[in-house]
Amino acid sequence: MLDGVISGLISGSVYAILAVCVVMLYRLTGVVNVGLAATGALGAYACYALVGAGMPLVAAALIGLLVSGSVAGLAGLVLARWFGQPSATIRLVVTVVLLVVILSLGFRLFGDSPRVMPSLLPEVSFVLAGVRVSLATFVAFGCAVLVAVGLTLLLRHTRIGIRMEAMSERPTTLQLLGVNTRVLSVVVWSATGAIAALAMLLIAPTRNPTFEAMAFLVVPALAAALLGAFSNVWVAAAGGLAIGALEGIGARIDWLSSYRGAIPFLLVIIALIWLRRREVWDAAR
Amino acid sequence: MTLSATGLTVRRGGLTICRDIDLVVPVGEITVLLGANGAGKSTLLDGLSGVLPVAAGAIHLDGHSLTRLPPHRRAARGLAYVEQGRTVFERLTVRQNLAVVDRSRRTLDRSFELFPRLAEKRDIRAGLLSGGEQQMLVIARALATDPRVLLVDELSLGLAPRVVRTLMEALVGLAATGVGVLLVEQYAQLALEVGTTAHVMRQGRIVRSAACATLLADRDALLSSHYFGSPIG
Amino acid sequence: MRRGSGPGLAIAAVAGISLLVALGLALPVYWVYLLTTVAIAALIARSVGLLTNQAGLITLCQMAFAAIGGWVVSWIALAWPGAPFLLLVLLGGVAAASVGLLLGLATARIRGVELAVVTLGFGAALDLVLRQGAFPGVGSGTPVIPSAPFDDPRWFFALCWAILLVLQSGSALLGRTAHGLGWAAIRTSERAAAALGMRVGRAKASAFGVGSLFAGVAGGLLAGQYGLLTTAVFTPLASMMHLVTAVLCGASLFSGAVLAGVFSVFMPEALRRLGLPLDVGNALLAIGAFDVLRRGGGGIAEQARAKLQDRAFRGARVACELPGAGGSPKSRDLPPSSERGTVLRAGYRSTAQRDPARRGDRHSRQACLEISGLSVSYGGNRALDAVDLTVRAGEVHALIGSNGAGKTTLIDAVTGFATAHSGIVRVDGAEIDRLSAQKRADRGVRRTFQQGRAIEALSVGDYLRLAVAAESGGRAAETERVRSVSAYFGLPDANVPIRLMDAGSRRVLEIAGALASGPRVLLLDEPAAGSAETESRALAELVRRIPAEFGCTVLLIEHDMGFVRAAATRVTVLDDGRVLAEGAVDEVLADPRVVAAYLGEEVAR
Repeated sequence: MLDGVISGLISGSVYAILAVCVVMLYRLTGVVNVGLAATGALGAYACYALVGAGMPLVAAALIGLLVSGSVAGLAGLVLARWFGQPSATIRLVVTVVLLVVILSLGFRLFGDSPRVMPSLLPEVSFVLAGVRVSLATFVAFGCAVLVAVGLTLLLRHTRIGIRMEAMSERPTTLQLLGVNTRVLSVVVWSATGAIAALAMLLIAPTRNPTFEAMAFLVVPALAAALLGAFSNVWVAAAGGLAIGALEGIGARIDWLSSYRGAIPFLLVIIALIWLRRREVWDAAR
Repeated sequence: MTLSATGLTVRRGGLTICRDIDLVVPVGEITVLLGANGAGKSTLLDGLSGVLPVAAGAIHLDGHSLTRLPPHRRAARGLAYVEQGRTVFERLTVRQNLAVVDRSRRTLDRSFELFPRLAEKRDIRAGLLSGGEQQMLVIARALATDPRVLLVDELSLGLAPRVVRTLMEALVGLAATGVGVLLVEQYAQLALEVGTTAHVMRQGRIVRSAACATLLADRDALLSSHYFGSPIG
Repeated sequence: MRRGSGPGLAIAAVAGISLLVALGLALPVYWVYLLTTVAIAALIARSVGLLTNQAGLITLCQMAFAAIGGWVVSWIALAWPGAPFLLLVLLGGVAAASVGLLLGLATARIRGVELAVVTLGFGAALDLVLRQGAFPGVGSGTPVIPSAPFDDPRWFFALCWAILLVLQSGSALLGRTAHGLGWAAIRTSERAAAALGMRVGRAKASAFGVGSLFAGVAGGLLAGQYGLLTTAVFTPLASMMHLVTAVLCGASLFSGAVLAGVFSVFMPEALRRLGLPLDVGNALLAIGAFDVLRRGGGGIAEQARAKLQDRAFRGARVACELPGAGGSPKSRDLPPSSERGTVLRAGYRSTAQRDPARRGDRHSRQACLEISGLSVSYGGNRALDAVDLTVRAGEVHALIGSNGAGKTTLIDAVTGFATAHSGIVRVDGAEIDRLSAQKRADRGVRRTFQQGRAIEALSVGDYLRLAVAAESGGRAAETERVRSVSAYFGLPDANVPIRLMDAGSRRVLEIAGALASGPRVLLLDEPAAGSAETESRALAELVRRIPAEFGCTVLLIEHDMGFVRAAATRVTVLDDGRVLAEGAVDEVLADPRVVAAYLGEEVAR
């Protein structure tokens, strides 16, 4: 059981990081970004391409984050420029469009076959409570905690964070106070894009996924974000970790192991149906 | 040195709510805009501040055109807007609400000097303040942008008359420092007592402009014609 | 096109079918094969279009439903060689439809982005499950072979197009019923749909059911087309591509769906022949869809239809012509009349002046709507506090008060839209406060909304039919009522799209719709907001006469006191959630307390 949980911890941490990004972006700009993981994948693949070309890993990783951050920022600019008024559902469709475009771009640049990704970290592991835990697991979990805590602290204590909180409550009022909300939302987009690239760099060595498989890692993250109603960072992070753990446990149960990817989502849907059982009406009057 | 609108028409949701408005807000005094609910006062302010696009006409502040600028650029030019309904950032504390605009010591001191009540609650979340305190915070926050002209929508909404008086006095003091105030009110009495000039809106147009004192003396006529739509004859 | 172009439609149908037959017979087999795929892709596009473009439910899992259809067909074909292929496809469709219906029912209370993510998750989960085992028959290399004559590509081509046409006709017929019109209603606003008496949950579930029937049938046909299916066809990405294409082409319409089919088949074909990579096609479709979303005027086919409509109704009257509003009929090339001519000085005549007799009998009437001790709280904030209000049968009763006094909350509570309230609401003596909004609408409690909620995608006639559908007073009575409200409010012709009407006319249409259902009590929330004075005056006169003309009691929220004086006999003033005054209009408006409440004077409370 415990080793199942531990084995799902890397995935869970990555889902948690992505889920926190989804929630942050939705809270601050009102966009559910289906293309989040794809944006991150672009950076991760760029990093591995540069490493393949002989660049030192750290420099390549930084450039990867930069690539994802820029692409996400561009997407954010497009959303803020043309889709300030439409509903959240329309904006979601726009991010589906974004995902398709990034996938095409990814296929063009990097091909669509799985490739072996070198780990950013040395292959070291420790034994904790009788279970072997790799360094990568520690780092991934640490990153998840760092992202959730860090973003929360940032929002509470820095001026830009306070402005972002203000934007999530009343964007128009913030604009009336002389703040350019468009610039602010581009910053949020870039930040989530770069963090998504980090998440992809963490998970890639464990799965060696195709570009498409990487892009669809957003699905469990969206499920986790859904649990937190796209507004609660902590529920989303916990949900991401739980989904990873369930996958890990599922892998140890024979009859379940083939279907483990599907189980968490079914549970999320059931939880959601339960949570929403009293929500009779759509948006307030 | 004024805010002026000429031939201003503003639409909201496909409906023309304000038609062909000419309005001047001189600095250093309070201009009052009256009218029943639904007369188009808030829409006019939304048009002036840039929340809604201008369908026709022009807006100038101190000789600069604001007509095509987005709200944050209008704010940078010295236009501040206190929207209806006490738009504090509820999850932020009093101090953070002010810090959204300006984190300097000077701003904090000035705000707390104007409204000492806020100083006591500086680390309380704005959502937990009373209605009057929230309105004070919103005004203090607007003033932190150092405006030339301040637009205030429904200052008195849902507040006890005593609190409204405190706020009105603050606005009088503000006008004395050379800021122009455009005060929109559904409730006429208090506004007319502090204002210099008043305009009355009905169905999207300014139907009467006069000195506040004149309107105050002529209260009954104001009531019947503009609020209660009494029958002819 | 809509009604009124019947012969044109028939000619187009005959021409289209003849062209298909000719193509099916004349073209080389390879092209026939491609055109077959167009029909199948059009089915999927139509299934997305029905859910997303028509009902406003973003679906990211239509290929999962197709996979269910394909799986069922492959499975039965393996177990029962030689089974009639049409039956297999039908079973595949039914299986997918059942799953869709279940998903729709389960997610009845999930909406917007959350629903979209749920569909994505459903699609991804099913994809994962399918990947674990191949489709039936793949392992043993036994392909699905359609039974004769459909093993011939030309017959298979005919089958696919015939199924597409039959399903499309079926969904079009369903779309003309109140139930199908309801899909457009839930897209506009679930509240507005419920206020019309619609069962919102059922409409959502049926949209999912019908949509997944289309997709399931398409999946079954794909099994026949390919013989052996692979999971690569049914990935979430494929579902997304179908959504993108449906949005781009405007798949709420048949023409849009066929266009989507053409795009998704011939775009890759063209790229292949040009030697370009296929995913470029996806990017091109996505960029097209982006542009469509940015403009917000619908997909290619939807825009084309809008242009045709614009042309067809140029010069036609598309605004309500209220009797007594004066002026020439509004036509589309003139500015709205509110901007023309002189606005008259307030010229309302009060009800009291007009029929003094009304004031005498006000105690003889019995109560139609009785509210006692009604309290509503929103998040600790008391919006209404023990309000008592009685509206007598056959009167127009106004509800006034400053912003935030609780007027709209009161209408919400009476019509079943307030989440939690205490107190009793009776209509004609029967308590209704345990009933859902839809049931209250059935009982004859109808309302309009402060922000207009007429359903843009419908025509005037369709909107009225939807509004009366819940009321089953017999066809003839319905038609008669629709006719009489149309004349009463001077509505434009029944085939005029609501899209072309100005906002003020749409509000009038909403009142007309509510009234056409033959309600006991009608609650109007600021019917005259934003209208110019002449129209406002004419509307006030019409509202005043509603009880006499339609036997319906009216509760009216209005800020314009001229309107209130002209339309209402009695008035209740709300202040901060409590009743401040109640009585005859002139008396109440002269009450010093009411005057004080409006001017904000300090008065002892």
